[in-house]
Amino acid sequence: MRLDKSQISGTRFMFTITFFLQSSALLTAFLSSVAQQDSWIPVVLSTISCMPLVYLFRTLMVMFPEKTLLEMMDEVFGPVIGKIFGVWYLWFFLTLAALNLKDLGDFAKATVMTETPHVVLVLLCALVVVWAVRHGLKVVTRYSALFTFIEFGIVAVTFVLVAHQMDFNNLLPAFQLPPIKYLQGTHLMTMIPVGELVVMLMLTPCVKLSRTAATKYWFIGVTMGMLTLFAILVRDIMILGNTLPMFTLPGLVTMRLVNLGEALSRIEILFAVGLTMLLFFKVAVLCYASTIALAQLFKTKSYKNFALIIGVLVVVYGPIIYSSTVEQSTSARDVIPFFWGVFEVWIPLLMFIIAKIRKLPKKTAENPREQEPQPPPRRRVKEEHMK
Amino acid sequence: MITKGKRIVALLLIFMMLPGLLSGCWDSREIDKLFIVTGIAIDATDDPDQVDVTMQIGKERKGEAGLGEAQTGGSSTIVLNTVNDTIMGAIREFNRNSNRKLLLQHNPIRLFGIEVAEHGVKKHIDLFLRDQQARLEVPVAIVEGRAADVLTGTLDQDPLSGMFVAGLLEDLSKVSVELQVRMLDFVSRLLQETVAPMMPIIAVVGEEDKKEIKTVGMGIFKGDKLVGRLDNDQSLGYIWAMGDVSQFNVKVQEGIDKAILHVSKLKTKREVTISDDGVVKVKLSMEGGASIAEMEGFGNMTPQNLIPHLKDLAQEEMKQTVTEAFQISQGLNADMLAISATLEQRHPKKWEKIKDRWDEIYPTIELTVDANLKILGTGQIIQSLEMEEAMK
Amino acid sequence: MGWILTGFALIAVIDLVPLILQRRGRAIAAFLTVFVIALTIAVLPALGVQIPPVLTFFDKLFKSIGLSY
Repeated sequence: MRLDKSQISGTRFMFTITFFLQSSALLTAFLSSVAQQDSWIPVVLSTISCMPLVYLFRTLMVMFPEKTLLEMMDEVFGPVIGKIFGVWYLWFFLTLAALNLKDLGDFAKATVMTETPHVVLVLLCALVVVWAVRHGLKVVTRYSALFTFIEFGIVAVTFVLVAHQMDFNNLLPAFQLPPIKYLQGTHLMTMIPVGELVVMLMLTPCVKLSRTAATKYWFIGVTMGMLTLFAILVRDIMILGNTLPMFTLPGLVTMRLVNLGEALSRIEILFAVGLTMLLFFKVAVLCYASTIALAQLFKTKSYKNFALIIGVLVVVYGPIIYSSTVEQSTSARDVIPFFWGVFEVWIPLLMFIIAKIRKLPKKTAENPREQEPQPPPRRRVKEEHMK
Repeated sequence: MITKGKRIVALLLIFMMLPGLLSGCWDSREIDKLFIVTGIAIDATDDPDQVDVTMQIGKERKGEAGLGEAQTGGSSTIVLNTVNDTIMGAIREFNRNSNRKLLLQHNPIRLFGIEVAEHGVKKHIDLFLRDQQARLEVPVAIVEGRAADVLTGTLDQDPLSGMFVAGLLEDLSKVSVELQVRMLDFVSRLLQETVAPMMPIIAVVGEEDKKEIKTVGMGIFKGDKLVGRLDNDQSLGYIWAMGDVSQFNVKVQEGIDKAILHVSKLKTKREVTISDDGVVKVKLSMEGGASIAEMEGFGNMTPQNLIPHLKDLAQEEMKQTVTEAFQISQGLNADMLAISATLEQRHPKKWEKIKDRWDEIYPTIELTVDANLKILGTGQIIQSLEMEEAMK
Repeated sequence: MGWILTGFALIAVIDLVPLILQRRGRAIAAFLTVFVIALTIAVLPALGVQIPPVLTFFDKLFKSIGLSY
């Protein structure tokens, strides 16, 4: 049963994926502490290694076109285990939303609004998110394309403006770190930005996609997102060099260095604007997924009444996830790739395998979209006429 | 479906909320509640655990614009000074004892007294890396004597001495980026333990009320401690060796004959080789185009012989200057040309084997310098007046 | 504390009351579940009670079984 009757196009879905990935721009700080000047290599490797994972998500979407992730788990694992996993996934989406909202508040407080209380900053964002969620996926993803292009523009402009300060030698020496660092970096990049796309499976019923279209939009979306992350990383490495691992926000430091005469300097506000857009959007998608998940766990007919309380929960939950930002960054670097793998890889993979073994989904009148479009019948008018 | 009435109410609520939400009232900082810092100076005190912090504040002008400088008469700056355990402690003290808050975001220069530089600057730069207001592209410099003298003295050149020094270094950066060392550049070199950070040295000269600020060379650091220096001429050798230098002069002299060649652009190619037994050789190849800016003498030469002769003299002069600067750095065992960084980038495996012995290897590095200048022009005239007279 | 309770009361008025009026039992159960959790997390720190960090437990768990870098 569809809770949200709104529909979004494949193109909008693709930009949603891209923008979701771009919002992991903050992640570059975790990665650079692992792989230093070779941070671009795990991005390339993870773009390749994440393709099977993306294909898995796409396949689940195509196999169960009218079902969200929780409904898929209900059907595949059965009502009891499906519900247990459902509760875990609800916690997972809430945790991601809370972490990202907290990051937004921390960033705004540290850089732009130092006196404003943290709770005011996150509450204001949460209220707008709640408003968008109440009005459905169409509103949540309405500006995905625009925001994506704005982010492309910001990255491109800053690339050009700092080009004269770039030193290609900062990318050297390459491939000199222990192999475990590349493995860790690749694992981190695969699990944290790309793996979190599992949340897109909560949007499945609202997206009209054939098999071919699903493949196209998933892979183009992921590729565009990863390209943006790659460009950001390469820019930061070439500018900051060996100081890159020191900074918590390397992108911000890079933008601060733009200095073309008196007029074109101090443009780090673009970073603030970009990051605010990115994180707001990511939190909106995650809150939407959480609200739908809650509604489906309790089998209610509507989800709109839960949007506000979910938003408030995300606000109050953020500060208690970690005891400090140092612990957060250490955990993100060392443990989270393994922990998130349970939600992003192992459970979806298990679901796929069991679905295949049990030959699910069973073809019914409710899910005709599973079938490929039939060719139109041949016209026999001429033959009849000749008779 | 939202009714028209609800829509109007919603719009009214939004219009009422927007001024409060968008004005950032919690973080509002009016200019009359701010002290805009135009220079920071760090000096040593008798107590090694304390630091002397001086901040120059630019006063905002009162009255109508365009009526000239001192509307109220008197200085254009306020100077705050205190001694504290840390720089942040000093900032808090300034803020506590004033009705205005210090704004560091527009601070254009950070100065270290020579004594602080000699004892080590690392412990004094953490705030400038950590604080979100402090910017990493701000240049740093050492002051001969006390850094506070730059900010406290009445300068003949500019009332805002901090801004003046920043402008001076900005102009020098157009000649070579190596002459303006930003905090980021200094820290980058500091993090590479085998590379010597550099910092320009300035001095305050002249009498009271008519002081001038001049650059006197470059300071060479080993780690975070100042261990030696290059004077202005030797600094040319350093920047020529690093390359990408624009608009500079090479002075050549032969007896009483002198000439100044103006070089518009110099590029330097660097080849660093390392043999299996750890012998490091560096070859610098400098290439540039020059024109004769000024000449005195050379009356016994014809124009056809003059150009190649001046070229040879200039090339020789450049080679000697670079070699001399390099020998000074070898004497200090401070890798100011970042040869170790090049080795690490280009020959990482060989570098791993020798990096622990770098202090033994650096003084033994063989440097070969090649210079190739093309004399592209002679200005509006070809022959000097002496040459014209000699021809008659 | 007053602000927190006022805020939560407002949320209950906006969302819970309509659910009660429509007699939607499951929705009320869902709402109350999240409401109680959120209220607890919001109120406890205001009362000076430290809530242990959630992911720290999982960090230690995964490190104890060797699943970390």
